[in-house]
Formats: sequence, C-alpha cells, structure tokens
Amino acid sequence: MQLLLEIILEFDLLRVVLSFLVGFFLMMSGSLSQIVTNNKLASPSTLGFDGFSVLTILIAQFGITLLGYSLSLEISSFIIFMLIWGLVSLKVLNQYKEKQRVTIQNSMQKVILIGIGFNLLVGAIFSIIQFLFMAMNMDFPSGLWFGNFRFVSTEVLIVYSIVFILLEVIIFNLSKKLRIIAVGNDFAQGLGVDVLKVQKLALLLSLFLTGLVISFFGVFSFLALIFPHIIRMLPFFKYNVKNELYYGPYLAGLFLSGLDLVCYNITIAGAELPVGMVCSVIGSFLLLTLLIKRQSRV
Amino acid sequence: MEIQFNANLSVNGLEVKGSLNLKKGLNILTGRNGLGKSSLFHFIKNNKNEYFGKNRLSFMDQFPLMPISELRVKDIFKILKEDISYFDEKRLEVLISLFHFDSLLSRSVQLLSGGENQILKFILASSQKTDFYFFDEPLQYLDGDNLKLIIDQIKALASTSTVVLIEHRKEHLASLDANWIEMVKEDNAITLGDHLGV
Repeated sequence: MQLLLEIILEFDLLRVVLSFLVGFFLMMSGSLSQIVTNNKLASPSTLGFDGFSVLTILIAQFGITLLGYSLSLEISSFIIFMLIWGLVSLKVLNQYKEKQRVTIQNSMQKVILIGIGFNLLVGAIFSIIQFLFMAMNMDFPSGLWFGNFRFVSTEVLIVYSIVFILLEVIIFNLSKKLRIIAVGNDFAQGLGVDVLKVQKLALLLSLFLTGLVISFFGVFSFLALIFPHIIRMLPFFKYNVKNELYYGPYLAGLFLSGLDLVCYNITIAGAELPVGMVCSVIGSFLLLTLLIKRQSRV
Repeated sequence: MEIQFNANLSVNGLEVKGSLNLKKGLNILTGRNGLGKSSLFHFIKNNKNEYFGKNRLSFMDQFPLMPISELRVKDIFKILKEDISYFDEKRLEVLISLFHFDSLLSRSVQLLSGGENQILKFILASSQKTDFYFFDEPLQYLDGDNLKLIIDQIKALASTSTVVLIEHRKEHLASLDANWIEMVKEDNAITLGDHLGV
C-alpha cells in the first residue's frame, strides 16, 4: 500500500490528466465513427484517420529538417493538421448543400477499404522517408508509432481541456440524434434526422480528435476501435447508446491513465514501455477473449 | 396529393417521369424489380419538407433493422418514447400484444428472425401518429397469421390516413380497395402512372 502510494505521488499529475483525456478522446472518436456509419469496423484506424494524421507529422518533420524553423514537432504537426482538417471540413460541409443526397452508409464498406489502403500507403511512405532520413543521418520521429506520454506540457493540457469542454457540449446537443441513428441510418432518416449532416459532423469530429492525439502523443493503434467494443460488453453501455457517449469515454480515460501509470514504472533496458503498444496488445487480447466467450454462449 | 418530381429523380441513370398521385386511403405502388420503387421512397424521405411540407411521414424500410450495438427490442421502444413527440404509446402497447411481442422485449434486435424483425419495423412505423405511412414490402418473411394481421392493420391505418405500399405479393392485396400506381420502364425513362388493374 505504501509502495503504491509512493508510485502515485511520484507520478506526474499532468501526465495522469493528459493520458485520461487521450483515452477519453480515442473512445469518443471510435464510438462516433461506429455509430454514424452503423459499422462495427469503423474507427480512426480503418477510416484512414491515423494515416492522415501521421502524414501531417511527416510533413512537419520535413519542414523542421529542411527549413530549420524552431517550432516543436508536436506544435508544427498540429498546426499543419488543423490547416488540412479545416480545408477538408470546408469541402465536406459544402458538399452537403447539394440537392441530391445519399447517405454514407451504402458506400461505407468501400470507405473502410479505402481507409485501410490509405493507412497502408502512409505506412509505406513512412518507411521510405525513414530510410532516407537514416541514410542522411537526420532525426526521424520513429517513436510516433508507439503512443506514449513521455513529453507532456501545460500548453497541451490547456488545448486538451478546451477541446474536452467543447466536445461535451457538442455531444450533449447531438446525443438525441446519435441515439436514433444508432438504431439504423434509414430508420433515423425516416424520423426526420438529417443523417448525412450528423454523419459528416461526427466523422470530422472523429478525425479532429485523432489528429489531436497523434500530433502530440503518437499513434495508439486500433485503440479507438477496441474501446467501444469492450465498453459495450458491460450491460450499462450495451443497451444504452447515451450511456456509451456520456460515460464510456470517462471509463476509457481511466483505463488508459491507469495503464500508463503501470507502464511508467516498467522499464526495459532503461526504456519506458510505450503505453500505446501495451494498450493495443491488452485491448485486442481482451476483445478476442470476450468475443470468443460470448460466441460460445450463443 | 400529387407529387411532381420535375426531373429531380433518376434511378440507375434513368429519369423518373410522371407524377405520384396519392389518394387518402391505401395506395399500392407496383412495378418490376429494379425500377426504383424503394429509391422513390428514399427520395421522398430525403426531401420530405419540399414535397410534404409540415405533414408528418412514417417509413418502414425494406431492409432489416440492424442496430450497431446489442440494443434490445425494449431499448428501441424506449428511444422512440423518449425522443419522438408524436409516438403513440397506447398504440404501441396494442401492437405489442397483438403480435405477441411481449416475450421478445428483452431480445437483442440482432438476434430476431427475419419475420420478427419485419414485425418490429412494422410496429415502429405504425406506432407513430402521422399523416402518411410508407411501407416498403411489409409482407415479406411473414407467416400466414402475421401476414393477415399486418394486412388488417394496414387497412385500419388507411381508414384514417394515407398509406403507400410497395408490394409484389399482389395476391394478398387484390381484394383491397386501393389506388394502384405502376412504375414502368419506357424507352429511356421510368414512368409513374395509374395502374390498369391487378
């Protein structure tokens, strides 16, 4: 008990809060994308959002290396991400004004396949650029593939806190529509919900949250896909989409924060275990176990 | 009510011509597979303010209801009760009892059979107090008893509202007093018009 207390006290409070918020954002990102597309495979990883965000970091790294400006990689990549995200949002929201509307649902499988392909493409580009950087003896952000909280700052906490408050307001306003959409897209449209508008807003929000996390802390592979599935196995969330949206992210935040506390205290050859890597292993193992258990009960 | 599409609607590249002339009571939309009857319903759903103004519309879709999570039948009823102001709870209770859905309330929607899912969709659509009801192939997957029950409910709805039905199983509907509308492919267009009879 004494030891546990010492570990917690020694632990950086800033890091605890930020890892909580990252878990919160990732769960929200996955949940939103799965609900509005009505597809359990939808997530930042399968929709190509991870690749999109990594690409902005690569662009930022190029900028720093070639132009030699003094902004940190995290801030540079976040600024570049926000610029591209803003342009994408303008384009996507303008398309909405077209008279003939179709829902995204029908082409969702295609979107997911394109997203996976895009992620693979970014992975390949990443490898080529990494090779070139190494060949030229230059710094390369290879650690971004393993999400971790080694570099936290008050500035990031301020940005994350503002996003957290805005996100709660947006979700509160959208929750009724999202709850109906969770029953089915066609069904929601029949009840007067502008499904396409909510789909676009939710996916843009999901992309934004992904970029916000990856820019500062790297990739937490498939966490946003796994979190909603694990949460939905608990009865409190399983039968209530509102609970999933309102309280699920808090649980995911606590989980990631707790796991980071453990990783912080485990080092291998002097290197801290990246919590993103550990979380993906535990999460996918847990998901597989629960799915197999549930399958055998049916 | 007459709906003119004004070249706004096309199905598989073919423009839909003519108008959808809906009469109070039962309207049955017929036509070969693939002509766009369900697309027509989707079009109306997406543009209902433009064509129906403030009238309320209720839709039953052709495809099974498949929620993302393991929502149970009662969870979906709860969502409608809480979020839809024109949902008729009394009618819902009547329909639950009529279709013996009491025993299915705690079942996950994903685990319902095709016929049960079909009845659930029908209950959800017809428990809304609306001026227009659109049912896309409501009789598919149903056994004899449930088929008769649904036809009776459609007749009851048609006595007070406008009901539009897409249905291929004409033999079950032939005896009904209805306005038949046919969708036919003519040259490079799809035409909507009054049907000559069953």
